[in-house]
Amino acid sequence: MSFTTLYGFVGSALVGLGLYGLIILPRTLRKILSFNLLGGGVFILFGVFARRGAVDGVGADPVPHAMVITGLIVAFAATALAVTLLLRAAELTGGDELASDPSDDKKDGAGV
Amino acid sequence: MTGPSTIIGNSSGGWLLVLALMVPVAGSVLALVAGGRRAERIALVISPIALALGFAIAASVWRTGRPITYHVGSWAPPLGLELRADGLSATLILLTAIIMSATVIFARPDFRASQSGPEKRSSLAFWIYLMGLWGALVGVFLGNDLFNLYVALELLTVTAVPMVCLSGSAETLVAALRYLLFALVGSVLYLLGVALVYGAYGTLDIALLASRFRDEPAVWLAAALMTAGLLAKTALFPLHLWLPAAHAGAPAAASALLSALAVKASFYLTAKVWFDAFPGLLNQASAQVLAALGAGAIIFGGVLALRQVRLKLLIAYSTVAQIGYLFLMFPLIVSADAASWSQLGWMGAGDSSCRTRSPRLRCSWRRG
Repeated sequence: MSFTTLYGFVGSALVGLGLYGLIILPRTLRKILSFNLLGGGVFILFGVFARRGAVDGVGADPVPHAMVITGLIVAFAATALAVTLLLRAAELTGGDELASDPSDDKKDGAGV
Repeated sequence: MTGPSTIIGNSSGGWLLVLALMVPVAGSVLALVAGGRRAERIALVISPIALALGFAIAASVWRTGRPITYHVGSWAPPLGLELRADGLSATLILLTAIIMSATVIFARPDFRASQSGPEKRSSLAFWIYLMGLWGALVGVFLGNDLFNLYVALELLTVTAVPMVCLSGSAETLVAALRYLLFALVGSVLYLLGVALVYGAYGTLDIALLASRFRDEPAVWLAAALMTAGLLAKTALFPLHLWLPAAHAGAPAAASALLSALAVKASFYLTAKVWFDAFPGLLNQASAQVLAALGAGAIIFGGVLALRQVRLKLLIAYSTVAQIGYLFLMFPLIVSADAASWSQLGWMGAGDSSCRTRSPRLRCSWRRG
């Protein structure tokens, strides 16, 4: 098994784990961590494509590296935003679980 | 370096696209520096300029009948990035400018900074996010590179999510957090699709992709991942769970922007992926799946909207139903001639955003 295939499988496994966690785990902090796992898997796949080269047969393609850097920054900033929102919400409600039942919506949104 | 976009090069009026993108972004940054007392005035200055730019772009596309393109740094694709305004995106940029300008005028009483008392957070934050959202929307409508579009989508997420929790109450924070999680999963699935497209074809420029792609598993998987991600951001049934609480909890002016504009950007991108990047790939069976979800949204959203007591929740569920109507477009276009996509796109944009949105905006403002 070549390196790129191995890393491709690792990336795919991370994507699968992250998606599973996002859907199954009830606590918000774990959902945020799962999102990071999922993002990590995607970035590894970008790395695989960089190493393998795209269809043109150019080995060590630098374009995916540039995209991974952008993606990392975006994911980092989004995680920071999510954690800040979570901290503030936990401060106000005392819990960190999102009410997943849409019927709770009737209580929501009184702050107009 | 072959391909249609390298031959055409910069068309005249490319600077209009740059300005249309830069003016709202510059306004957002300026407002952050200038502070809450001046943010509102900056938005008041910015919006007529951006509205005029929207009219200029639409007029130019209308007159010449050709899209306006601009190559960033004079590097043509596949090396550089292209900004492109065709008929549909010019219309949407103009509509965005009109709705944004109206919102700026109507939001002034709610978010005006008091000149004597202490400065409120929302009077600064609202204007920054409004102009940031404007820039992100223009970025989505002008982008012609799949990764560039990802960045514009993320900019849209980080400006739209805080608008939900401007009041800072616990309910709106939870709603914003749920919206953020849905949006992030949507973006990362879209990014995974982008990675697969790049790995298979070595380019992300939409015009080049349209000539290079083949009907094979890689492109189907990539398109399916991108679509799933974008559907979560558009809040198509059954991925709409975040929308009612988020839109109902936002201040009236902000929820007008969120339901009229923010969810439409990812819908536009879904259509762009299927009809511009991979033309001819969508078959009747898969188009029917999208339309079935849309039909589910119409029924589900409509029934729940009728059962709501609060007007803002009624509007939020009605938005869920409206999004469903948009997705009925896909099988119609597939069964019609492929060349009629642009005309259908024109009609679809005008119909959904003008006729059904304006009364809605008015009624939510009246209540707010």
